[in-house]
Amino acid sequence: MRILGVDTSSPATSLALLEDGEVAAEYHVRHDHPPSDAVFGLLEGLLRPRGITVADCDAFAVCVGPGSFTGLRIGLGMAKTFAWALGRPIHGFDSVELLAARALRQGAVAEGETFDALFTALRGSVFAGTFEVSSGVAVRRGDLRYADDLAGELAVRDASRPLVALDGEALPPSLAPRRLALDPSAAILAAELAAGAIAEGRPADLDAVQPTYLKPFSVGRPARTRSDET
Amino acid sequence: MTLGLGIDTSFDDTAVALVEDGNRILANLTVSQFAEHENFGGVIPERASRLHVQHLFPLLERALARAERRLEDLDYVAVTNRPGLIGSLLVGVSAGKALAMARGLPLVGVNHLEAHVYAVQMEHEDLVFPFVSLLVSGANTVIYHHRDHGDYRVLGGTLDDAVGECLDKSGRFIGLPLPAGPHLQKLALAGDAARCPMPRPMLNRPGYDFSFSGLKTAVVNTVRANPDLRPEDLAAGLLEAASDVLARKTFRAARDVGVKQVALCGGVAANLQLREAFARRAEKTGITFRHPSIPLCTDNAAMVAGLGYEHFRRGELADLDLAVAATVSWKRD
Repeated sequence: MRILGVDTSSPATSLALLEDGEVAAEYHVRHDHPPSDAVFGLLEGLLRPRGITVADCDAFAVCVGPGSFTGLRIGLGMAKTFAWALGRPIHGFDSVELLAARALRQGAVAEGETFDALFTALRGSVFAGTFEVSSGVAVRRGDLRYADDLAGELAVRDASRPLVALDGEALPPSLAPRRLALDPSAAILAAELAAGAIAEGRPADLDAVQPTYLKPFSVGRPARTRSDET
Repeated sequence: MTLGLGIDTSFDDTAVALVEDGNRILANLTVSQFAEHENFGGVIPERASRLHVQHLFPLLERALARAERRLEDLDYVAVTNRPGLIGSLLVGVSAGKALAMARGLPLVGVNHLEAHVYAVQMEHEDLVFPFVSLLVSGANTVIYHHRDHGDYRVLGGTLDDAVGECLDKSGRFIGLPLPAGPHLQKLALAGDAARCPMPRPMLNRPGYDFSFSGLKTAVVNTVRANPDLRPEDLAAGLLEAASDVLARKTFRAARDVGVKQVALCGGVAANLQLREAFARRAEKTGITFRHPSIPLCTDNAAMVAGLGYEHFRRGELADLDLAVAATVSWKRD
């Protein structure tokens, strides 16, 4: 079973090839961020030396955001097109879910523990979610949350729950976040979650894999509305 | 037989088409986002990009079903990569690249404006190089001199608004829904242009450039000065003025560069009054004139698959680095 994982939701673009649960090849940007649409060339560079093509992948896993709108459309569009064109399954995972999977994999949370995962996006907006570790899996409890700023998230969150966040995430020390390393990449985590989903026989729905847009879409007041007309 | 898939997401329409040998259209489908943007008085780029993502896969499925073909039958993938809204273009180009990668197909990048001209050739085999074309749409008003596929020069173009924008803004000013062209056309058929004479901007200037922002202003001033003016007469006057300038300059350009054929293309080429003005100039000058059917005038992917065929058979293929571009540079004579 060969699974291709893709994450273009942040400048830390990552691609990963998982073969029977083992990371066979990986690309993970940490410093010099390429433009989002370079991901095609990067993928080619990952596969070609191994003598395989996209058609040799059995399934696809992709991060559906929230994150860079343009980055998501490119990475998600790419992975969905692969799945569609080859008739293979695709599983999408959101950015906060991948953060929770990272916490679990890095041993930052323990079996039975309920915790919050959080990250800060553009202009200080915050995405978060609550998870519970159950039978070795981080299971989501409640919805993916969006707040305009950290104060907005803190106002709704239960302060008694442990908090996990990436290294480098600017958070007040009073929150005592458990810090998570940048490795493994989100692409690896997504591919691993997809492997789990496939093993469970969870159905893969191409149409359900859509970019996550949580931040309300706003362009100001409409210039003219239908109801203005008689 | 060569089967090509065309994808166009350059602006607000998601378009997919299957075309055989460059001109046999098996499917030509477009999902208009128009209703989704209508309340905002224009296209919102971020919203357009989001809708392209939603519409593209169902449309690809429908196009294959309509054409009764499978992905396995494809020989190449052609996708519009310029010009247009960057975010919108990226949706189509990403899908095109991924499809080419997954199925091991050649990828072709297509210039949307060149494709509009090719649309005329798809339906008129007697339109042969060299010829002069006028491309008119909401975003473009330009006269080209074509020597071969991809070998052309710009003879003139608008210095400010595209003619389609002038028509849309004028129509909106008198309360017509967007796009205003078809509504203006209908009104004009019941109107009398003589009752509403409008200026012919830059008609007597040398060269082949246009200006339509003044005509737009003239509409506003005329309506304000004549509250009793019938919209029918205004529409007739406006379309006659715009068509007259476009036709005269295009045929003058054709005569000056010594070609015997003129092509009219782009969304505004669907306009009856403009076509009639061209037909009149054609009769007067002896220069023949060709235009596409309406589905090939407005944005569509058949023209992309069509022009893609010309690139494909010339070996002009793109690689995975195919970039998108908001604008294209002109080569002027």
